[in-house]
Amino acid sequence: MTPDTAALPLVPLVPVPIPSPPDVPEPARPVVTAPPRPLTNGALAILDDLLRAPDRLTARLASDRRVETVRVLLLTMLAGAAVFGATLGIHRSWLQAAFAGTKLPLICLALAVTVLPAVVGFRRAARAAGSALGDAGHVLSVFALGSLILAATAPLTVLGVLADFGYHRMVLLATACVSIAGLVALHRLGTLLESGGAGRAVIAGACVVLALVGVQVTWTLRPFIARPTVPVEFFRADRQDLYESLGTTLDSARGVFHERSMVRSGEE
Amino acid sequence: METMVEGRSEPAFDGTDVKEAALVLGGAAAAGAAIGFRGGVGDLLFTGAGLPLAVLGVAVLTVPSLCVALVASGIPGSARDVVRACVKAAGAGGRVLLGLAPALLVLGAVGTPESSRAYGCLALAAALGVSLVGARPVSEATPSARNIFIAWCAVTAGIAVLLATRVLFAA
Repeated sequence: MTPDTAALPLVPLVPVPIPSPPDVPEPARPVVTAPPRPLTNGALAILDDLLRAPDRLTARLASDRRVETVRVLLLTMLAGAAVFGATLGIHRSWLQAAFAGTKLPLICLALAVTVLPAVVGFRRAARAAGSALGDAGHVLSVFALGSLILAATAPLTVLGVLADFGYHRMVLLATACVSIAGLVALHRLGTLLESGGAGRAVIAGACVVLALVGVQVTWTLRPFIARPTVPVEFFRADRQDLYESLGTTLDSARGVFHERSMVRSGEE
Repeated sequence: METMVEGRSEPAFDGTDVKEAALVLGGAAAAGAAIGFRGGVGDLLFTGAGLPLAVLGVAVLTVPSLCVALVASGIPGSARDVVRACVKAAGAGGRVLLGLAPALLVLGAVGTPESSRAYGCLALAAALGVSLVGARPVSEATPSARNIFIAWCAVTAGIAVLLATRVLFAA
């Protein structure tokens, strides 16, 4: 080795890969969540929560604003059903509109009062957490939501009236509107009960009770649209229940006709 | 009534068991009254008293057999545990009947006496199902206990249906 080369640093002929610095994770950025919106007063705020924030509505019902919330929900339930009933009845006459606008809120009230003990009973039987007051709030909010959706579909029935829909088309339209509102309400009922710890059996039981009582009570308080060939009356005098009537209709469809008997109250 | 267990005396049944028993009998009475009111005071009293008696009859007829069979099959618990579990499960059925009584009342008011009884049968079937499912944990110790429980459920359901229909459709 010559003195000149001795001082030369040794340079490898093959490039040695320079190790990259170890991956250093970026420091975690603090998660900034928007603070929960405070519960604001006012009927519109309550309706806003009713439509799209059921947990905020539950918080309202548990807070010191529960009286105002219950009042708004009750008024919504009654007013929404009245509006929809009136738009059904207007197809026949103003009197039928007044009758139907009175009967539908009564049906909603009767159903709410009937379904609530069943929900409480099923939930307690399943030993699920919750309270009867909480269940009452849930049931009221579900009926208020259903009525609000019904009222929102009222323009469709008004359109049917203006377009001179016949009786059967109006019945089909009304059925579709009620089905939409009913499905939304049932879904909300299931969501609220599930978030409260109730299982599927409780939810199914509540839905069955609601369906059976709703169908029977609505049938008994008919008519809402009223056939053009019958006089306008608050409700039909015959006491035939839904299943008897279905049987009669099926028989009629098969060509077997029965003499219709009008059973007045008090003659049974 | 007390039993001696390892030198300690324990009450056979406590306040919770009494409450559960009261719930099942009260629920049956409320449901029976709601079913029978359409037929008048006589029907109301008949079904209002008859259904709790039917529930008591089912319990007296079937629960002792379950105790004997399960204990003989070698479950860890005692006959008292089986009875307490059955009482608790029956209490759940009573809660269901209490909750359904207003619905039965409304359906009776807007329907016919026959449809009222039909809805009553549905409500009783629901309560019976809840009670039988609620009693299931007592039998989960061994496979033979599970088989005994399934057989017991079938017999109990048959007795319950026969007794309930005699009460509901005899009025």
